[in-house]
Amino acid sequence: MDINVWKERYKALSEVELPEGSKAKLNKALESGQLIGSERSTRSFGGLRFLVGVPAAALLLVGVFLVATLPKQAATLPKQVVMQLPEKSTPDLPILGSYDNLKTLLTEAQAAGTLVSGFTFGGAVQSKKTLSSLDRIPNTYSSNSDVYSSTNVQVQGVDEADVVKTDGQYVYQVNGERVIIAQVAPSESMKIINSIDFTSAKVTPQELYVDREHMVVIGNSFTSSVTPENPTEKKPNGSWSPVQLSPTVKVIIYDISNKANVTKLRELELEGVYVASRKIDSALYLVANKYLDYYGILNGSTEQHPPFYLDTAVNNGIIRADFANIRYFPDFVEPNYLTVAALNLNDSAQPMQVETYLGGGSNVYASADNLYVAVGRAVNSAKKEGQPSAKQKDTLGPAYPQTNTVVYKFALAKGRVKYQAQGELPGRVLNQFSMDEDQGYFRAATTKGQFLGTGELSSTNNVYILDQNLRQTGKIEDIAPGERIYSVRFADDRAYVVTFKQVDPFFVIDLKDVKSPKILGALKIPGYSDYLQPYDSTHIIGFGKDTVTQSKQFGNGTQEMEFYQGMKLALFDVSDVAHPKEMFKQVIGDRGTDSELLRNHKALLFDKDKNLLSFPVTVAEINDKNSTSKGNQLQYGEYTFQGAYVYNLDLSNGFTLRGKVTHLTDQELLTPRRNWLSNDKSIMRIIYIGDTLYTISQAEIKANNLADLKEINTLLIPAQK
Amino acid sequence: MNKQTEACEAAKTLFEDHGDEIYRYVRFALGNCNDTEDIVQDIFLKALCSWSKFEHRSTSRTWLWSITRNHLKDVIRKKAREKNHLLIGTERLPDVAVHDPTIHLELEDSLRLLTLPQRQVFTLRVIMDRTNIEAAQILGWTPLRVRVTLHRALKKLEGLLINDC
Repeated sequence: MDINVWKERYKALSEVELPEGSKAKLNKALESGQLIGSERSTRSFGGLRFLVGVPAAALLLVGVFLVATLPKQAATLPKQVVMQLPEKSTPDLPILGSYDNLKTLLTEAQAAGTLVSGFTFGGAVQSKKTLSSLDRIPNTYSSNSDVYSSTNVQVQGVDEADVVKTDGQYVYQVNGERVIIAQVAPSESMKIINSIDFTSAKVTPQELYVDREHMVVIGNSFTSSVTPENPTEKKPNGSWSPVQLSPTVKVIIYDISNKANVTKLRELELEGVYVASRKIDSALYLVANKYLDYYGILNGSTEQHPPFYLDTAVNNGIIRADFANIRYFPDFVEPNYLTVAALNLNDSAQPMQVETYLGGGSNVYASADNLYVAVGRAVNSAKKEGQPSAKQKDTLGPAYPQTNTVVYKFALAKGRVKYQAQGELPGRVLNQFSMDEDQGYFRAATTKGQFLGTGELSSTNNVYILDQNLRQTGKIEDIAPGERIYSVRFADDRAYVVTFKQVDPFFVIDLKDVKSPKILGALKIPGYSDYLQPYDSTHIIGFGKDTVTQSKQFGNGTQEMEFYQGMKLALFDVSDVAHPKEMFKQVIGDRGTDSELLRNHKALLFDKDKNLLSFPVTVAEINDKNSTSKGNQLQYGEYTFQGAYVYNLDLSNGFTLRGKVTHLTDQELLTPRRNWLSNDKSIMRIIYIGDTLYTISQAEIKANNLADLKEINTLLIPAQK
Repeated sequence: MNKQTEACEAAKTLFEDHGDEIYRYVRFALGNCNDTEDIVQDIFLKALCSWSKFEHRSTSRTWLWSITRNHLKDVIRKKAREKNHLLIGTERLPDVAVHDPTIHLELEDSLRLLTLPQRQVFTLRVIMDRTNIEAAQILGWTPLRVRVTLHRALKKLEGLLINDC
């Protein structure tokens, strides 16, 4: 089972917080300095315990019920992504120059307290959403051709890597440590043409791109050979030992003119962790993140080399970034390298351009012309002013640092990147869909403050418009106080924003006047949407969860709580912008029903012209619907189905289920509970070629007639040895 | 500002910024509701007391996690000496049970199936959404050990889901 499935399942636990009572008491204890002075021993706190007096039991688990609504604390901490602009970077950014200068910068940043805000463990991507960054969704989705579907992307013309791709005759699939190439059209004679095994190459393929000539496989790897410097040295205080293996991003480009015998054209490797990629025609752009062990640097125990990369178009050796080419963002020093790489797939003579920055980023949005990297930055105003205790007096609760979003803009052109500008917005962006570019203007929706906070700390939601130099031209602030953004979609001069706390306000925002955007209308309905897909210029499809309200007893009082139920599809009519309407609504299953689509837009197959809507879903159903026992709404259903739901969608009839496709046998589905959930027969993607619908799992590719879903053929994919 | 006040302020800031995540980690990794808050409290008091010795060679967050790690080691050792089996969390504790949030009782209960290292890894990787490498750094393990331990943990939990029908 995919780890994200586990994360989703255990989501409730990730939102548990230290009980307020405990917080207040410990805060008080930490405030009383004398106590500590007399009790300096680090061994025993026995003497302190009574003063702090936290009762052992009596945790009030307030907040735990707000399953759907609590923000994930950790996710708000930014990760760093550094893009490297090579030789001719913009002159505005200063050069790192030398290792000594790096040390000085880090030391200064630490002394200024600005390093504290960064999360320094690893250079990985914080949120799973960032891994699958998409750009702007075209207003009307249309495939590359009328004959077959392509990956559902944010911005038309800007391709995003995925686990499955098709070219209208073949299916290319990341399958464990392999990439499978299967001929699926004609569907009567499907066969596996090729299986490329990456086990021995020590690469774990993640995603791929396919075009007429090339297949690009992007994977994770590890290199140990490049870090010979004191790899095993023990830290003096016995704390972290350095990670000896350096994670790398591997990109392998194949010539696929002969599918049965693909030839490797080029191999690239970037030190760091894969953040996102985009492909625009034959240009490929990659963003990676390399964590800096700056503890080791300041400590002098390790000498950290600048990140390396490898491009077989140049030679077979390792190329190290030179400090003379690494740039930094002066007011935002982070212990991370952000690397942005660009290459042209059609020009093997053009070396990969690799730009390295000291800095960070975690969400990536790309239009056809520009790439934006967003990173959170904690700003603690009180700390800076040197009066940290002032605010503590009015409120017992903890003061949270404010998070801003720093955005870096890079121009893209035929496999080259160039740093353009930097801007800053209050609040945090949710994912790639929180950002957009239209006619040179950058737009972003953010959530500021704490979701559960009150008064000044209460969350607000905002939309900002920035010009091409990332200077703010207009904004709307304080949308839906106390709620947070669940999904955003920009379409031309409109923004659709879904916030949630108890009901789902769906906002329509007009961005036509870049100086004064305004809210045109709002709709409040139960449930929420995690993903918004434009249907046409006046209709939006929302995918999320249905919710019900229930009162819960808490100590002496009761509280209204929202509980998510089954998966919800909704079609919103925004033609009357002042009064958006929910035209149609469909709920699948009961509590526990889930779909990858709610986290990853690439799981969606949508074709307006074909009235076709399909996605993989795991359905949970409660057998005894009449049971009126208490807490019924909290009850999870039994898993009864995994597979593709295929809908007809049109404006007069709404969602009509055309049928379901599963790779599980009837017998497997009858098996009580969920032992089939973790097997390889979970459908991941649905595509169509001509009049045939294909569902793809790790174990099978199944072909069904698109019109009536009658099964045509099944291709079994043998398990990897 | 004298040193003591400075330490208090620093500890308070640490607590404000990281109190919840440390709590989450201690609670789910140890699976011991009775002691969780006391342990969290001790960790921050320890941070307060040793602030003057903090050499700012890492971020305070990294430093706080190393304190957490070491403190938990002590706690575990002590519990083992006292043969206090609460640590492996065989009983449902009243504070949770009273309020009966079906959702997370079920989830929290399922963690009791895991060994201590498995819980630690599971908490970091799944509940706290840390990457393999981050978890390795926090635990002071190799990334490989993290991966293998997580794999076993997930296998066990899968087994649970199948068997309890």
